[in-house]
Amino acid sequence: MWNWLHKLGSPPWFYRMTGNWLPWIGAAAALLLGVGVTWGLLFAPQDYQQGHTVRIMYIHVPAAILAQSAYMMLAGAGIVVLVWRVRLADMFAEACAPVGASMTLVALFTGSIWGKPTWGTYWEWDARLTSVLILLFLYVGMIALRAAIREAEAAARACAILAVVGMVNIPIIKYSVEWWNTLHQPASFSVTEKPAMPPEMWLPLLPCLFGLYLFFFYVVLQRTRTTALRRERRKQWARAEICRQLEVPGAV
Amino acid sequence: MQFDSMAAFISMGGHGRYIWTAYGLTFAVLAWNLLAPWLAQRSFLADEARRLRREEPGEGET
Repeated sequence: MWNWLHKLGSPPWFYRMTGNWLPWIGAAAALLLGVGVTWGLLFAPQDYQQGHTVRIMYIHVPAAILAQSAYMMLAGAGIVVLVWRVRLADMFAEACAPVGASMTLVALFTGSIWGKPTWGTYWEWDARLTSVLILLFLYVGMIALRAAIREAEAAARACAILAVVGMVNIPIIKYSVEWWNTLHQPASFSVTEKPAMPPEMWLPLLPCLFGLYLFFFYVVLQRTRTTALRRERRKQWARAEICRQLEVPGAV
Repeated sequence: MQFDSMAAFISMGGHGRYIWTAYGLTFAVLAWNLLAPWLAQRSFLADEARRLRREEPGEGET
């Protein structure tokens, strides 16, 4: 286990392994998203109150779950950076921020568009909506912070601290619908209880959710790989890899 | 299948514009997510190619 973790923290090993995994992750993501979206748009039943607008759920819910999940991974990577100073964890964090931000943007956009026909408004300063907007600002702040600090080590630590401190927002997002009287409905899904909606309505969510997770890992791993190559370009393994990709003899 | 014609599928009971805008925006964001790392990788490799040529004159083309 420790041996495996140690290897996982090594950029050359990470680069080689993810190179093998990526095509499979990408293919599985495309397949699951294709199935989920087709199922959700064409075959899932409409809601007796909302009609067809309920189909927005198949992208809104997975994007919102992933937006928070990505932040937790970012904070987890932050702890690894602060405690063990693993270089790769910071590369992963750097890759996570823009992708997580884009997922938050999708959750906000689709929620807002869904809000118009169901609530009669695109936006309301309700606790759930506001806390998710803060999540977006945390992501954007993280990207800006990294860009503003020139020294890599200092940037890594600053971003890690911001990521860990920003974790307080995650339970606020989750419980906002219970603590405050929000326009946003409380959660319809939980791990322990059966969902209140019929299975033919929530089943398409599963391929959409897993597909989006795999898509997330696909693009984040790709970003992490490029960052690893860039930051380690003076090292032997990265030089060899760059020469191989450029098809020049070398590997000095 | 919930729709009996293409027109019904597009109009989605009058809510088509909301649903299609939501899906369209999501698609655009996912496409950006795929494109951005690819472009970053390409521009990094182009920089590296320039650097290698500069550091090792005489090797490779010009």
